[in-house]
Amino acid sequence: MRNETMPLLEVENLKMSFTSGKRGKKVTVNAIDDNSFKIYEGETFGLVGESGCGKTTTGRTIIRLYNPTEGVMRFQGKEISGPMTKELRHFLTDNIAMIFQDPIDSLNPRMTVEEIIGEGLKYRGMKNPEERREIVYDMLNKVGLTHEHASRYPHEFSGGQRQRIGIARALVVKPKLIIADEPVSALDVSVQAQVINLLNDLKEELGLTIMFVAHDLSVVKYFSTRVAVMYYGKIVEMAPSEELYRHPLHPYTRALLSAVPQPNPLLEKTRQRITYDKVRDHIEMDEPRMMREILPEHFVYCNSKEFERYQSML
Amino acid sequence: MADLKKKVIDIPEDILNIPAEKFEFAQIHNTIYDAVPETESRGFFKDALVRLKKNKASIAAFWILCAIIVLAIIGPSLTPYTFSQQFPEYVNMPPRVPYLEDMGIFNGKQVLTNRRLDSLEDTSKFPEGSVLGYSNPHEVRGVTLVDVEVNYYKYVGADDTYFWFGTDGMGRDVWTRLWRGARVSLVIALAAVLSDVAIGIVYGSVAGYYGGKLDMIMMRICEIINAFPNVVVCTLCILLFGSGIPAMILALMIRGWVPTARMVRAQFLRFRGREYVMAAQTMGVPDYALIFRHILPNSIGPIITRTMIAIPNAIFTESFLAFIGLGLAPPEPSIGTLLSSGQKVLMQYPHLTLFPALTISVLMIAFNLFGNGLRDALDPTQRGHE
Amino acid sequence: MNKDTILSVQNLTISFRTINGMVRAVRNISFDLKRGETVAIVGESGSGKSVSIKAIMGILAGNAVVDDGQILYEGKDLLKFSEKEYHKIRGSKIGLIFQDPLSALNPIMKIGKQITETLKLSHPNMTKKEARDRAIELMESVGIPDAENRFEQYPFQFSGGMRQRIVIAIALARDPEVLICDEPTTALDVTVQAKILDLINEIKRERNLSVIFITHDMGVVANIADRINVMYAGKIIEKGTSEEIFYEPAHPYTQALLAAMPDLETEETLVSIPGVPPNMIYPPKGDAFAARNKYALKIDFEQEPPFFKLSDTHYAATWTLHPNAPDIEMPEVLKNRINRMKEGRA
Repeated sequence: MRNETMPLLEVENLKMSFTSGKRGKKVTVNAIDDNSFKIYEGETFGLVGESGCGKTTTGRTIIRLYNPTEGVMRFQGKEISGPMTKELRHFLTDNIAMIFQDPIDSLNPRMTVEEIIGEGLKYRGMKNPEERREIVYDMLNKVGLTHEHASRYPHEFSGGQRQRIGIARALVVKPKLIIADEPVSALDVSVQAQVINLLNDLKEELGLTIMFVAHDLSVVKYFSTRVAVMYYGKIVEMAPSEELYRHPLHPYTRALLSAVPQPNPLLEKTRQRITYDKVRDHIEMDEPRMMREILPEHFVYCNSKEFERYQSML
Repeated sequence: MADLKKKVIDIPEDILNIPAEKFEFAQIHNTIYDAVPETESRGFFKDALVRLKKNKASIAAFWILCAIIVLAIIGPSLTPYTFSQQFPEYVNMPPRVPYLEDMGIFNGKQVLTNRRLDSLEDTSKFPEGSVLGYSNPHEVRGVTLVDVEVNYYKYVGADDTYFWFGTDGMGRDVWTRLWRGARVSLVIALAAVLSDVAIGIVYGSVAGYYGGKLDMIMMRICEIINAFPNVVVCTLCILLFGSGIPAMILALMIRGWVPTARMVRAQFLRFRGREYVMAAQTMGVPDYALIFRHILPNSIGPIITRTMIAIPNAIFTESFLAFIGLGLAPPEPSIGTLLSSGQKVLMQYPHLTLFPALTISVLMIAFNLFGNGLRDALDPTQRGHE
Repeated sequence: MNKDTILSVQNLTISFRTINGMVRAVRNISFDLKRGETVAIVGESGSGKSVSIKAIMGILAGNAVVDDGQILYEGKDLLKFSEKEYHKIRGSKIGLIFQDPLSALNPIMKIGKQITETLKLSHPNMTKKEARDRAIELMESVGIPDAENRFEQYPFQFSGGMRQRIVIAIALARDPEVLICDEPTTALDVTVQAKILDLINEIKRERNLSVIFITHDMGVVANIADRINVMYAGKIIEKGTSEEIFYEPAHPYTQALLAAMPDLETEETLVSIPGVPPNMIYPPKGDAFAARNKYALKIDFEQEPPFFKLSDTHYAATWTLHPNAPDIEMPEVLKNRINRMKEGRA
């Protein structure tokens, strides 16, 4: 039924490579290696993987901080992967906003909270500072801060508060899609729930769609409706979160799941970890691997022999 | 929780006896908001000022700088002389200051060597009261010669004149010329450094912000400019435009902006990838605002610090040029030209070198100390710390 | 002091001089470390956990003031040690593993040399060959494959997890009795974190080490700790064995901390702890957590709660355990999880 509705964001065969080194010794790194996925309106799409797997690059490429090397991205049917024009930037800023990872680095230390949150409005034609202030105060309340915080500088806040300011900045322009790039991974566990709950509430209230990028599988599983697991630039498994947790198929997903720490000492002390070995855990054959739907909505990156093996595991 | 409460053992008597009404909920109906920080909200510069004030050496250096600048402005007009006024009859006078002379310093004392001992009584040669003493009597062809210590002002018959720092070989007042020279040196250095910084910021910003090929070309140009030796560039410039103040400023500027540009570029490269710059970019903030609101204000610390350190360097370069004969055309003094002419008669009239040398030394030390203090105070990693 | 107690911190109180006033970072904490056990100190940033271990290592910042307390190592008070005496203990008796392995290693020195140099501190007479063999042995024991070849490599040639293993090897080179781990896995990926935790457990068992483990993540602690101290606002507010802390958390803060983090089966709404930790320039009266606790009692704002004893090992400083206190339910997400865990156990 979901497939009938038009996706909010469509990503097709997205590739992104960085080249370094001089002529002759050129090294090309595929940060994103031919990935396709769709994000539907109202869902939370989790993208999980370890550091350096390309999940952050994916988010940044969608909002066009980077230019994609290959592939097509469409937002509500409109292509957003073409050359950057003023008009496209406007379209993007009106529809997609980003929440950044580092609560210290993501706020300009020389601007007050009011200036930080109000900036997006200012460059979108809201020139009247009074009008802006009203919206900023309202937004501050929504994220659990008060107008008394507006005149303060970022260094006076704790990590969780800064992250909430970052959320306020992203939401103040009323985007449809939020790309949350590891919004809680730099925070203390005690504060993570605050930010996650806040995002959940705001999602309901404002009807947001969220792309949630993180490395912590338990948070992603808790927060997302669908999860994609990324390994070295490649999405290896994609499924609704409950389904992924019940039937992890790709060996990397299984390794990731077994490494998630659990708040259960008796279980932890006897737990067996699964390690992922690229050679041992795969069946090599000439046929290239591709994303195959093994159960409805559940995709695994595999060749046909592996597909059979995964089917037998269900 | 009820189960847990049953497990509690060994509660002391006084704790057990706390009345039950103390155990009512205090805020069950309130919503808990984040507390507003109790401490005062401090902007960047206010914060830096607090830290700067804690650095005693920098504050001392700051006041010394102020004193030198004030003297450079009003110093020349404190004497009845002008910087180019010559007194042919009062050449190479030693320093003499009222009141201080009574304490045995700055009293216009000068030693005249190899004078006949018997001529000391001759008031036409040594006016009354001018002789303070003599030493080193020795005989040459039957005549006793001595080194006579005299009050030179009385000796030349100018008892009521005071040249605070003495006069030079053309009878010009050293005090007036020194502060006039300091003023000229400071103006040259300040003008040169300010234009360096202005050019450097624009050049470095463009190179650092846009990056890529443009950056590469711009940086190669910097390297080419930097490849010419400073002395050669300055000499050519002065040959071409004469040795006035504008020519000096230009000479110092031609290469001077390159380090600033490089520094600003490095700052831009550093801040360009910051998440808050990216965040602003995704919010549709235009390029100029990214440069002037997000990147430049955060690199202002290093820029100010560089400026403060560049000023003494410019003063030094100017003095150095003057010293090797590329200075301002006379009679306009600068600290460098004063030093250059003073060192020729260093053994006979050390006061001609001493005062300019002291001034430039103090100026350099003070600028450097103050610059270091500023660097520490403006360091963003120090925010909110002691 | 008990005979198996190797390190004992008593009434430790530390403040910092800052521009705005004295920050009361650690307020009267006491805990013991027994031979061969792992004690975890859990708390959010600013709770004073790192400061306390810096005090143990004698590496407090210049503006720190130790107001009170003792740190007894084998009966001697480390706080009274001179820098020279500390030198004999630091590294050789008490080893430290940092959060960021990259900054703990010298980037321009081959890692083999970094290990052998440390070895020579304890064994000045060791020959080059012996030191090399011992270093390679150490590298193998912390799970660095192909140690012979990697001996000649520089830190940048290693991944984050491998670097942390090297840091552990260096810490072990001098055969310390106590190993202090300051958030050793926070900077690492989950799969690498799991491996490092297993490694720490393994070397602890092999060498009968006593470990102090600092973290903000309760999940990590479940795997590794025998006993847990939960810190908040410079105080230890609950202590117990790890089973007691996870299955019977008593302090509202411990409960909130556990209820704030999802596990793989969580579906209920997480408990978000409102507000922020108190400004420690003005430490609050009474229970420091009260201002953020919806169910705070009047007395929480008036009088500091004493430790209520739940068992010989389990203590919690909260008025909710007082017989006169109303019954307060645990957060739902936590209650369900504990039930789930108990079922799994049965």
